[in-house]
Amino acid sequence: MSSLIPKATYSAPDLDESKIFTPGDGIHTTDGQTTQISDIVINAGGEDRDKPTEAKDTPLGHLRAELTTLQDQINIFLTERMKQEKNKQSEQEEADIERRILDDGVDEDDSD
Amino acid sequence: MTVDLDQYVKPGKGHYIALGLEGSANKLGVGVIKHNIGPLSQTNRAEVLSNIRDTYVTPPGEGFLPRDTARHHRNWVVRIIKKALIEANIKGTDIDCICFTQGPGMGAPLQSVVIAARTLAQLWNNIPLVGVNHCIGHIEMGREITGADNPVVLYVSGGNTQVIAYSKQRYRIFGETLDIAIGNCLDRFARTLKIPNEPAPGYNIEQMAKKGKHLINLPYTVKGMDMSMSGILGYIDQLANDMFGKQPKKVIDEVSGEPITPEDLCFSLQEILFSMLVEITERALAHVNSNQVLIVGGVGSNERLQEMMKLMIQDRKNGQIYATDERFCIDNGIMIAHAGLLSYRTGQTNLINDTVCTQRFRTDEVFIKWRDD
Amino acid sequence: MDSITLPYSLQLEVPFETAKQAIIAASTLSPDPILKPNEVSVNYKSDENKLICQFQAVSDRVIRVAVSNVIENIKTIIECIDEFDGKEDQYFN
Repeated sequence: MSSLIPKATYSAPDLDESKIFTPGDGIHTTDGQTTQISDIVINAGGEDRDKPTEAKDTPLGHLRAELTTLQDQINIFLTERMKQEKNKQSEQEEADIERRILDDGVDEDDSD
Repeated sequence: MTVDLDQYVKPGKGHYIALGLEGSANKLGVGVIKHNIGPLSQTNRAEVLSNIRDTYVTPPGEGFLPRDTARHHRNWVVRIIKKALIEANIKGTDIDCICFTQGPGMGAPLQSVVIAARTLAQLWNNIPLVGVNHCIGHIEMGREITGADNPVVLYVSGGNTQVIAYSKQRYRIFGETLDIAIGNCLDRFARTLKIPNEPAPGYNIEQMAKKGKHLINLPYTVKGMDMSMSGILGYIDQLANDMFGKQPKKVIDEVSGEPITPEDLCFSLQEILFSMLVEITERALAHVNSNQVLIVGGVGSNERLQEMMKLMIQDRKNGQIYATDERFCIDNGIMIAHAGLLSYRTGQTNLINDTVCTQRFRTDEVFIKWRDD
Repeated sequence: MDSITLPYSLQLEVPFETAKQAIIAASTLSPDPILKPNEVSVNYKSDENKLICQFQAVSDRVIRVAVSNVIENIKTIIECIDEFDGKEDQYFN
């Protein structure tokens, strides 16, 4: 019984080479960490009774679990990149503010 | 009636079976319906083989987000389909068509269900797909269950508020809400009061309203044949926040001198909203010269609304009110199967590229080929 | 869409048991239009028993939403196939 392994390849302008995702060895489940119910529901005292069905012990069942792992990997990776991008932006903004304040590079044209 | 409903019957068969999938809001429903050949009548009724529903319920004070609602539908849809097939005791080859809600409704939940419909249709030797307008589903199921043949339809739910009358192969909208739907108005007030969403927020408002005694003054906002409800909600929300917020303010009933309770607020909100519905429905009846009212949609199970409509219709000659119970008036899969099958029997099938769901889909866009009265 | 305006890309490959299953998956996903075509494009095809989804987007944020939603749909498709493929002539219990 050949197993069905999903795969993803990501590329972006700032990456020299593509990033490849595979589920890898280990335990895979359909209950992905990035596909949980919204925090709002849990924080309001709700419970999650809508978990996915467990994977059947079939090639497609395993595929569904492995694809869930792959989805988590991609979501976590991209979220991390988004955070870094945001940090870079706020560093940039800070640098701008610093320059404005310390180098008094602005406002000089506004004096009227 | 002269519409031929049997042009598309499978050779050698005396009946049709349709599977229906509904997921336009927070209910996921799958139903199986059977029609025998020939026009539907009191002696040839549609047969409900199964009607399974699972509702996404949120904690008190919270509405249902599209994301979590779609997640609910996705994670349940295969199990609910299977349950409906088991209860109907049918197999794939018995099915003539797979019907799905094409709109109106919430985008992500609609899409999560049509994905299953498309997959199943292709897996089982390309069973024809039939896209169904959700409102038409309510109307046709209501007519079939109650036997009301040509009523003015009051369609009241969490997403829709319409007064509808049939004319020349269209269900035409006589009056409707100009802003939020009545069920949405009630649900949102339930959230303001933080009352539970189980089994349904509107149901809990109804129970509280039964204990209300004092009618408070609320704006009455009928505009022509249409009505507006957001202003009323804003007004009563403000009142509730004043009464039960951080610095509670006592509000006294002017006549009795007794304090106004949350039950009074629920009572007053229902009375004002339902009076507006009664007024518009009464005018529609006069306009089309009908004496039947059919109430469909989730709010249609409200007994006070049914009672108020009844009082109005009793004044008309042979006036009759028709309503269904929660199995059929709350969103369900069987109504999609039924309306879809009627449409299939007059030739509708959707190619797979023509199965895209749409959040906006007006009731009067659908050509009612199966009626010619 | 070209790689200059949509520079972030992801290719997803999902193998099925048969070519027919991969075709069904591709044609189940294909009808739904992308809501913001100037921000993201998705292309579905099947290659033998493989479903191949090609995403191109304007940012990581956009590609993340698109990819995750498509994977959600693929999981429904897989569960449906796993439960119902080849069983049109049998009763369930």
